[in-house]
Amino acid sequence: MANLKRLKIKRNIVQGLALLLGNANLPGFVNGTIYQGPLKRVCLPGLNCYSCPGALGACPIGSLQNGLADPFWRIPFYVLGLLSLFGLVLGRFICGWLCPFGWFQELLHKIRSPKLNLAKSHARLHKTLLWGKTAMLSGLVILTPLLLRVLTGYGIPAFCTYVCPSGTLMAGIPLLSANEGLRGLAGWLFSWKMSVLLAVAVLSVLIYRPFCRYLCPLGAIYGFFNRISLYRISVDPQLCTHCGRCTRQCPMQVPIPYDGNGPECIRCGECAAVCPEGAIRIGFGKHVKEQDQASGLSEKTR
Amino acid sequence: MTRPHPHIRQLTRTESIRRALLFALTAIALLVGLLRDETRLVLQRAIQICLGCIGIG
Ligand code: SF4
Ligand code: SF4
Repeated sequence: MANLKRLKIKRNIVQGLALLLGNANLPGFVNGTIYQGPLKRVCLPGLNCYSCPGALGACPIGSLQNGLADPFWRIPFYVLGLLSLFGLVLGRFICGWLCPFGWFQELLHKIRSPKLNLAKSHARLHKTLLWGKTAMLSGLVILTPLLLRVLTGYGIPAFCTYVCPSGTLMAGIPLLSANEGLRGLAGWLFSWKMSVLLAVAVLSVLIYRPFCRYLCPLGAIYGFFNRISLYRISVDPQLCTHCGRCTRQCPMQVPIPYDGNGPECIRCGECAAVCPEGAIRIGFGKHVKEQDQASGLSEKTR
Repeated sequence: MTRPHPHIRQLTRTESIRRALLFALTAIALLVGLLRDETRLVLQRAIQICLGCIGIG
């Protein structure tokens, strides 16, 4: 348990530092303006709105949509390359440790209230809802900007405009609070986006990371890479006694220890922290040599 | 010692190959993007307040 407590503190510190480092333009919050320097050539790894007054980098999902919507840009190779690089190296470690909106949902989940675990109580609904991430990615992030560009000559970043609660939280609220000119322009769209944010916030109190599980297009992208990312989980089959402690601890209901590298694991490390045998390792490199595991298996079948 | 469990899923050979191929494709995509000066386009968008993001449409 001490391990788990230490891990949780460590993760909160890293999440706080990531938020600060990515959003260090603090005067922007007072002036109601955004940072316009050269660092914004680079995308941040998490769902971090580039219109946040503090943001030092660009949002990968916003940049991807802009690239697809722009008739001159067409294929955003650089953004796709960056997303793929983040995914291949870190996978959903980004969700568990670096993304500010993931942290926001986690903090809300700490509020004392009855908790809902759809994976247990409504397994089929949960499984269906998991496809929501892919639907958001393909529908609003890729197809809508692309189709609008083809049909009208110029697309719009549809996910940013109609859904992204991270944009409302990190950009909409602070900018409109500090900038009177912008405040006067807020209309029905702002009310809609505030309702989405509010719904996500309320659900986050009840369900662990509902937006990350069911809606986030960036989570869908990193989830695709989780299976092959360099930062990964390995379970030593020689040490694992199948006691089920890790399975019960996992907040994302990943089928650990049998398949820890599926698309839903956010590499929070809680499974490894509670394993009494130290059978689960998370990190770079092959802590448990995959060859050794394979030979362990073949010994068994021999 | 506990006997190794046959259902603990490992990185398969196909997945290792897929990883290597994706690394190569990633390098190419980044190179093409940098050569096309796409970082300038990212910057151009990111330094303007995105009205959609903040809910003004
Ligand atoms: S799923 Fe999306 S919002 Fe959640 S932590 Fe990952 S990138 Fe952030
Ligand atoms: S499998 Fe482990 S690291 Fe992954 S989400 Fe579950 S507890 Fe966290």
